[in-house]
Amino acid sequence: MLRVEHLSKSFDGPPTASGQAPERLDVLRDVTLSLKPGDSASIVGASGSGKSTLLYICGGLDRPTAGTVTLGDIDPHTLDAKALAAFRNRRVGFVFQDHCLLPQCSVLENVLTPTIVTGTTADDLDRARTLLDRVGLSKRLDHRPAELSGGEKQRVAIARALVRQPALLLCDEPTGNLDRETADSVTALLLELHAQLQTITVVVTHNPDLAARCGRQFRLVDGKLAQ
Amino acid sequence: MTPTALALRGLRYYWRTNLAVVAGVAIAVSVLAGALVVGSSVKASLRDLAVSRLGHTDTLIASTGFVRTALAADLAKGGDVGAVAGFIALDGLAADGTNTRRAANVAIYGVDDAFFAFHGVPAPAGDDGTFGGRQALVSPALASDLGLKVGDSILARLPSPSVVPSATLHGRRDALGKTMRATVREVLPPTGLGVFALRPNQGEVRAIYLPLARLQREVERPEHVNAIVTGRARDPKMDVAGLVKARLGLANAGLSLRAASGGSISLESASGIISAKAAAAARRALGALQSSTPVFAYLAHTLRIGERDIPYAVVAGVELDTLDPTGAGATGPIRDDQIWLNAWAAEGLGAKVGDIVTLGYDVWDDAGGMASRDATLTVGGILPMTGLGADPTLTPDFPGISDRTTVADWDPSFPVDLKRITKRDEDYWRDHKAAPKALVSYATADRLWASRFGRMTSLRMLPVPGGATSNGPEAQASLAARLTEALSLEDAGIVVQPVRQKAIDASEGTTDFGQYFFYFSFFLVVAALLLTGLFFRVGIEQRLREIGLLEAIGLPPSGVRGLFLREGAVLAAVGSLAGVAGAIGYAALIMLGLRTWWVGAVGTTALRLQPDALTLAAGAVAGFVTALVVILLMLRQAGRAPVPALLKGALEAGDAPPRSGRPTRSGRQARPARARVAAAWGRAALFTMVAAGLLLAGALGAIAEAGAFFGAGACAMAAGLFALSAWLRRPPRTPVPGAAWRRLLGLGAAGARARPGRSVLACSLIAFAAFVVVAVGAFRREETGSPDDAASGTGGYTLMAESVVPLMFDPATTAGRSQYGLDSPDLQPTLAGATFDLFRVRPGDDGSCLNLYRPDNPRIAAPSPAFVARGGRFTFAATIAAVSDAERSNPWRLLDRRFDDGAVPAILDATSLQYVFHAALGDDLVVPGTGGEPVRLRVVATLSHSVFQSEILIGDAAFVRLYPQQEGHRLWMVDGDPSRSAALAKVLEDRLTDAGLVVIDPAERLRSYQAVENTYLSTFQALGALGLVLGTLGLGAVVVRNVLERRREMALLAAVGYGPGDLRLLVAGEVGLIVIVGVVLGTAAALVAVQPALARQGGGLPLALIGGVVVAVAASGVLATLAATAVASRLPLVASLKSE
Repeated sequence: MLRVEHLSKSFDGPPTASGQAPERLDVLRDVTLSLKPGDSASIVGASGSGKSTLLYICGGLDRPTAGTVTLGDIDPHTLDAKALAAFRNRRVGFVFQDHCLLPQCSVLENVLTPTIVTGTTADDLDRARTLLDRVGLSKRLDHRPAELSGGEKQRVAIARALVRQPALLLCDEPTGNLDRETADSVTALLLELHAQLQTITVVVTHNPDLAARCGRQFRLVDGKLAQ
Repeated sequence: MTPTALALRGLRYYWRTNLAVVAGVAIAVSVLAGALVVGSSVKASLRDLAVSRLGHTDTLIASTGFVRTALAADLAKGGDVGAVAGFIALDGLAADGTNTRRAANVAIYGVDDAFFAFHGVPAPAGDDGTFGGRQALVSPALASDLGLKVGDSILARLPSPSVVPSATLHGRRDALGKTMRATVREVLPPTGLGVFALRPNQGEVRAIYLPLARLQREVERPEHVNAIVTGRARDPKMDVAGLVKARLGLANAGLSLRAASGGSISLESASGIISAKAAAAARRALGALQSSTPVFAYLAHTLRIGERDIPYAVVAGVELDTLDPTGAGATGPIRDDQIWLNAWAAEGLGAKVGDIVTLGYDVWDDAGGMASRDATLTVGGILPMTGLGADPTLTPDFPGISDRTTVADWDPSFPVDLKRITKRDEDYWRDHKAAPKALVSYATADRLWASRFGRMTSLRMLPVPGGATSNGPEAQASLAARLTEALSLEDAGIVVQPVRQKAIDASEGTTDFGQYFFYFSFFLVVAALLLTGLFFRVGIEQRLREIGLLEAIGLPPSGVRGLFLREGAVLAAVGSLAGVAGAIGYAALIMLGLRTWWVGAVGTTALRLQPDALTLAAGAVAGFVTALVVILLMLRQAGRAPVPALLKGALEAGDAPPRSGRPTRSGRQARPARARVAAAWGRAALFTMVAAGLLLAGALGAIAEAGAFFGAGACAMAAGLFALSAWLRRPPRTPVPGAAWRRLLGLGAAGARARPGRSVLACSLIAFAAFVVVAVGAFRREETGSPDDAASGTGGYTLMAESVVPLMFDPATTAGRSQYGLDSPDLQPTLAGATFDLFRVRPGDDGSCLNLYRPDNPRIAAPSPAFVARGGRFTFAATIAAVSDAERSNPWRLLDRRFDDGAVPAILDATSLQYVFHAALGDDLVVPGTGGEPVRLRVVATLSHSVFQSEILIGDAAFVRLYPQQEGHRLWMVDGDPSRSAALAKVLEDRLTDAGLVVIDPAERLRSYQAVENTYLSTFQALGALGLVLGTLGLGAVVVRNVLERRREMALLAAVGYGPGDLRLLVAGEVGLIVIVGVVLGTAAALVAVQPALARQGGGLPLALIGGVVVAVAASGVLATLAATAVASRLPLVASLKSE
């Protein structure tokens, strides 16, 4: 279960040339959200509305100004750096808009990247191969990211996000850099895997089709989350 | 998938960037290990040079006097010490046959076949088949200096070492030295004997080899030598000194025994006076069983009572009651106010007991003149012409007197008026030779005639009461054995030196070139490490998304750091290995520089590259560790960046959130941008204050100036770099209308703000290089003193004259000018107004930076008491004067200080003290005394950049006490009309040719020292310039990288109509900012740091140098701009517009 309760996040605005105190920006205001395993949710909103920030806070990459986030019974923001890293490694999978593949590694190695932390086992390897088979890249295991198309790269990123069988899959604009056709394909894949693996999936997107195909749809307006 | 596998993938994929990091590490290691290799190579070269110059010599047995040639053969018996050769070694001067070309500091050797055999070279066969006659062999350096070839004539000027001290009555003060003419038989090759030298020095060897027999004849010491060399002993632990002691014999100590009256045996010295050490040794040998009594015989020029006198009478000071207890002495001792005449003298003077006798005698005064003095004594007794009344054994042999049959034949060292000699005097001489005509108490003789050379002319050893009364050969031999046993080598004036070992020790050098070049290369190393850091940072910045991703998927920050550290370690290791090869190349280049461009600093071309594995390994390890630390520092900054920022490829994110879940525990909260700006300004202010504090502390003398220099300079520059960092991070300003070029330049400069850390690093490189070049340039000295300025480095002297032979007369006196032939009326206009300050000199190792070897036996000099009392010459860098006003106003008076612990006050040049002796004011330096015994010299003051960098100055009284054998003065500091100095120099050299006088311009001497200093500075600057090259590389790399990262921006500008010139202006804005700030920061920091030195030297700012640096850096900036724009122009427009 993912619980987000009364979450707020504020930033200082950019420093002013005149030396006056910077303006305070409230990006998230009292956001509350609850998702159970098997749930999928989309968050839409204008650029700069705080969608990615909410996603990063849920995944333990960012820290709220107020409020709590719990996944299962763990609030990642109470963990020390090492435990937080382990939390992210075991419980959370990330898919970013620009896929963030390591150019020096092959497709298979990219998928296995999260297993570096604990050491890659034979099971990890099998799982990685299986995932890549499921995303349709079983014949591209040894290819480098530079040799893949945008859609293929994002498929690799999805496989990487799922290789540790996370409880929570966070996708930040996963189709943002893709053409419509490829975006549809990636969307289908994402939802198919979600259905199979029953992960809690949160997708931040501008893609209305993707947003609509998620179980729950949220809109972030003025820092507030509306369903 | 493992971290190592991932690291290896990264290494391979980012090979271009990694290659740059490897290059940076390799340069750092090359420079670091190279500096160490230079140090070890110089040491090894000096050791090889010194050892090769010794030939087969292992130990030198040197005598301050002379020893019998037979001692060498005695030592060789049994073969314990290997080969042995005795020879004469003198320091002299040489000239070509026409006396037009001269060379000073020439080693003149008298050698025979045994010497050639010792060195394993065939003796050159002369006309008669042996090395003899008027032949001479010359070293190649001397031949070159004098333009000599085989068959040419050569003049060798050498001191005429007399056994009788010149400062005693019978010493010959008029003996200026010997000049020997010889014919060059052979110019020796530049190996073996051609470079033979007993004293380690890296300079050219100037030597003449003359036949031993001829030299012995010339110095009037037949069958004697003053040096014996021994080869390597079979047993390395062989006690050569013990062997010499065992084979010594009295004769080699200059002592002899002869039968004297009353069955006693008289101990006498070849010098005519027994030294205190020899007398004490003799008394130790005799012990309590046998008594002895001193005798002090002196030649009085007159014994007078009223109108009657006796000329040239020997008067002996004796302990009459001890010497003759049963005869005349039975009545008791001679009272100190009495004189006892023998019957012949009493008759001649018509004297009776109670008459007053005037005793007239001569002594040499300090100015070199003979002074007559009188003593008034009462006739206490008349001795019969038997026993002590006519005992010639009371008087030792005086050369030129004792060996003559008549008084008229005397050839004394002092003036004798033969007209005063009567037939009665000649009859006395015929019948009684030098038997004293009068006796005084020993105490009176000691009071009147004692000198530093001794207080008796003989020691009479009396027969043991009740024992055998024989004083024949057997008794003498037995006594001689006991005396020899009691004599130490020091007492005998013999020093046994393990010269080979000492040469090896001395080759450790005064100058640790490894350390120097480490210092010189320090900024180069820093530049290379900055470059390493810069390239690594570029690599990191290239992979920020990767770091963000790794952290996002659960790698802890330490894991990510460890991953990159593995890559860094591999790069550092590869760079270090490459650096080892580079180190050899770099060291080879430096050694080449030392042999060629910087030969002025070392004075030899015999330095060879001799890398050793340990040094290289040490350099490589040091470089590896340092590079790793730099890499860690770079990673640390990346590790502080928040993950969301990293995922966007940014190192710094505006008001980024903390990245740890527990900021309060971990404390790792990312600071807001404004906090970083404030922190940077705070650090700038802090470093500014520290720089000011260091300068103040340096000015107040609380810390060493060198520390203040580097500390203040570094802090000032750090302050500037922090200020730049703050400025680059400041909020952007609202654009204002302006000309296109200004807007373009401004836009370019704004590019530097895109990656402030990278820009600051590039700027640091430029600033470091500018700092080194300007700071070092400010220390360059071209000052050569002024003859009008007594406070300058020359002391205001116009000339300094050094002689081979000790000069016994003061040229300022009438007697002195007469003695030296300077009293001719036609010379008076040249000599008018010239004044002379005389310095005693004990020759020794050069204590200046001109000598690379450690001066274990440094040259010692002593100014005259008059010079010390007058003061006012030279400038003192520091003194311990705090007690009396007299010392404060005239620190030269510190030489008169007495320390309770027996240390001798000494003054040294500050540069020599610091860099050669590695000591400080107040420290004690231990130098060997006459017999090799340790003498402690306490540094009471230091001179600032003076001509006295080669010697240690001590007081006159201390010099005379410590080095009694070093007579007269060998150094004249001459003050006079500068317009006549050339003429005066010529007159002095001409008139004192036989003394081997060489006159030089003190400014020239000063320049030779400064040339070394300036050469070191040039070296430093050259390496600083190399740092500038690295800075340029770094700058180019940064700008090219920035252009690549901004290629979309560039493409956009091109798309909207900006031309190549506009783009160049854009890049120039960024380059210009880095270059200008770098040069300004480096130069300003350098000027702040060297301000105290500039103020002290009174020099202006090194504007030409600063201009040069600006031009060089500006040129590098132009190159960087052109390179970057060339890269930009090659980028395809459309692809660049689409690129991410």
